[in-house]
Amino acid sequence: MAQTDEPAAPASSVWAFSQPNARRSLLLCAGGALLGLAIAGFGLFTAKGTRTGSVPAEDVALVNQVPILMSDYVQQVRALYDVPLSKATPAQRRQVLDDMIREELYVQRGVELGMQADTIEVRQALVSAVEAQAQADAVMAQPDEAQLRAFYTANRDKYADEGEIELADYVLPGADRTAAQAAVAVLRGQGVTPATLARLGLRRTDRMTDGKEYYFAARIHLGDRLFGVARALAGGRFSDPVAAKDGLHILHVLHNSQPPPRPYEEVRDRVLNDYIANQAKVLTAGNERFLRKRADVAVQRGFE
Amino acid sequence: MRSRWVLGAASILLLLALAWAVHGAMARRQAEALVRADPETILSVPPLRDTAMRLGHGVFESHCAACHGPAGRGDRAKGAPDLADGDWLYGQGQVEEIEQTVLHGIRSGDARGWSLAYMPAYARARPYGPEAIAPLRPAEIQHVAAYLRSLHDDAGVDPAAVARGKAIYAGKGGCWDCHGGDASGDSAIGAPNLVDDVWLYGDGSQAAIAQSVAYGRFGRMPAFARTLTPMEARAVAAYVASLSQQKRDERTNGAD
Repeated sequence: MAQTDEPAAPASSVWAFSQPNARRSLLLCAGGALLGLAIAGFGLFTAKGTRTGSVPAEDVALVNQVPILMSDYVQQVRALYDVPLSKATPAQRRQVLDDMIREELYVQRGVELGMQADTIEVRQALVSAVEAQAQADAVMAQPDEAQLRAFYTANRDKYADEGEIELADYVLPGADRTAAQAAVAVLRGQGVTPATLARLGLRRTDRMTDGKEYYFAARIHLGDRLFGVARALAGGRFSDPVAAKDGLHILHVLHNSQPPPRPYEEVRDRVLNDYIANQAKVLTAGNERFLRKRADVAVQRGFE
Repeated sequence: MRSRWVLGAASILLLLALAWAVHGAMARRQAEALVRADPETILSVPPLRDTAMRLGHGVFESHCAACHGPAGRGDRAKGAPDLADGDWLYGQGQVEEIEQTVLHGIRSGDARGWSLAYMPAYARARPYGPEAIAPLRPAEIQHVAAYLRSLHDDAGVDPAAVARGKAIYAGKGGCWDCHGGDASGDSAIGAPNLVDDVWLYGDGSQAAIAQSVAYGRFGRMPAFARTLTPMEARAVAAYVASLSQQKRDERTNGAD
């Protein structure tokens, strides 16, 4: 076994980069770690939140990363100065932008301060906005014709026009039903003339004296009972006497058109509105159920 | 030899990918320029106009044509306005106004949409929900319809009915409040012009007018703020404005 007498290699210098050196590796490692910590610390204590490098094209500004939309900005310029964006002066543009940034800062500060917890107007606005959101979803989901037709068929009565009625309401004071029945027979046989009315002791009330009325108006004028009797009579017919507080009434129906149904094509816009309103109601109710289900609501004993 | 083919194919693929990327970047830049531009200048700047037409046409076909029709000529049965006739229910037809309507809709539930008023149903016990308005009698509704019809053509219209209708329009009916004393409408609240012979519902006959007066109207348009990107909304607004540009230009030239 031959033994060589090679001289021991001199310990390489830490900064002699042409030769490997364990101590240098450790120093560089430590330096890197310190640099990383310094950057992290700087970021931690001076951070303004994570931010993107540039403002997206559709935004005019980002305020704490909350966008101010270009379309809102353009509209605001128009609303304040009545000029299109290209005609606004730099000062006008700057003023609008400053105002919008200010508003966004105040909104964000309001949220930080929890204004929604104790400012009534903010609470009301939030409730309305969430309700409107449900309605917006219903409006967005445009129903197809088959759905609308099915809704129309299920609610056909609702899409009939109002019925129209014209009548004369005569009253015989007192409660002599026999005399009233006799008066009806005379009227049916001879028709209505001032002389006949005078002879029979009938007086025309002022409840229906303006010609044709819609059913709802006739109901208000006559009351439910008399209207129910009148509605069932065809034009030209006299009713039997109907007892009321002021005497016995005889109705002479001059014209009566029952609510005519409207075909789907003519009322489609109303059907669509009602359908959407109905959907909005369903969505709002579902939304509320979901909120209640996921909420932890504790109620004071005795107030359940 | 084989490696040459592989190298050649790889080069072509690389070039195609590069071309695709450049094209994509350019298209993106054009679309960004669209939303950064003043909306009212888009139709007069060819590159912006081309981008808006290309992008807007697609959006219109997929989101608007179902109600307004593929050419934007509207549908009276649905109360969907003709977008090419130069007559605007809301605003003056500026791109920015159309964009706001696209984003926030009409009676859509969006708080920023158009929803100040709607047409009362005068043949109902409570014609108008938000405030008390008295219903009208059947004859009164016919008189109002006769008056409105007479603003276009008074042939065959009873002059006495017209006079009574005019009085109801300006008095008990409160029609003037939205449609104006001269019945020319108010585009700030979407009250139609009643003298321009453009009809949103029906054919403008006395019977059709009476139907609207009697049973009201409540046209809606969805809000697309959560469906479309800002670029798509801007593009479709410009596209819609372009449908009536010729009419607008004619009007502007006429005014000059």
